[in-house]
Amino acid sequence: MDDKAKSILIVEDEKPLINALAEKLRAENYTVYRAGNGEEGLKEAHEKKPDLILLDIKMPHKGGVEFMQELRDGNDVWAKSVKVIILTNLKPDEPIISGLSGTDPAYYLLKAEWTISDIVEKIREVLNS
Amino acid sequence: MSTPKKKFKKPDEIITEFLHLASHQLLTPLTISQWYTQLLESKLAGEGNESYNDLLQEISNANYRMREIINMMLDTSRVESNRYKIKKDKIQLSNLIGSKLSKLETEFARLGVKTRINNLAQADHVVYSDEIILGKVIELIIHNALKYNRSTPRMVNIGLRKNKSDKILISFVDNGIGIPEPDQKRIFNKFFRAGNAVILEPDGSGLSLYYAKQSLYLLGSKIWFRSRHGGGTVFTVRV
Repeated sequence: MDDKAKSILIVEDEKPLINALAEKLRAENYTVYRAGNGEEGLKEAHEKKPDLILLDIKMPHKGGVEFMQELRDGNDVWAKSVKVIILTNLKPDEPIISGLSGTDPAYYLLKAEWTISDIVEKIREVLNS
Repeated sequence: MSTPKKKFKKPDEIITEFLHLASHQLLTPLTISQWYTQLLESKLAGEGNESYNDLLQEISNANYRMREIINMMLDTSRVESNRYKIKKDKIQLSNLIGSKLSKLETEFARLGVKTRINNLAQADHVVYSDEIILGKVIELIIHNALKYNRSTPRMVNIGLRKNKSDKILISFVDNGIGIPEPDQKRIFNKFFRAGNAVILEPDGSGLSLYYAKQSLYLLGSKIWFRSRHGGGTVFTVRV
């Protein structure tokens, strides 16, 4: 399957960031779904079953760590295996991150250190892995 | 009945907390500025809008400077508050120094910098340390050696050798402005900047050498220097 036909859910509470990512990904022909916090993100994820989730950590109502725990805890086979890229400005050794289990998710990007084009490149790489 | 004494945080702890909080808060607007500049750059690419490209390049440069300042604040607060988790691995020092020099290549070309590296090819220059901290300290020392320097050409000579206890010493010799004698005692203090450095470059956080000393201490390493006002500086790191 051509990866450009694939779908991505962005869970991020900062509107300018979600808008920028959505614009860039749509320009690359991905189907983009968006959610402003972990709660909306879970609902959207189960409904749309995207090929990949881009996930922020600090969000109102429900953060990225709780999102991951609830996503992986259920019986849904898709939810247990969908690829997730954490996109945050929190370093991986911050206490809040310790709620994520060891190797899940395997992809962790610091927003301010990555250009938007490199993020799209990473998404392509992860989708093809 | 006595009232329990309220515990106040020490001023240093408050500063550390402030640095951590402020740097995290600043990273989000910085990311927005960076990503939108990049989006504009790609929209304008190939459309013959060179004048806009130059303006966007200036914004990118400013974003980069801001990120360096914020990261310095964040890294300092993480080291001070023990949030930073040390990860020690085998490091080939020649590779690490080489990668840091490559990162600064563009700046070297712009400033006409000459670097000389001694003894870097020796296979036994392998250390067991934290690559992130060590790499950052190397980068900071080289960066300072060039920033506080107006000689032609600006020079940094990097050398590796072993001391009597078989520890590796990395030395950085520059031909910069040097550190005035009265300021030398305080050069590793938090927020301190030498008088001649402030005159030459008014902007600066006074955190880089403080970070270097504190973070190397966590690794069991050490940094020291000798310097003469107007006569350059030699920083040495014992890994």
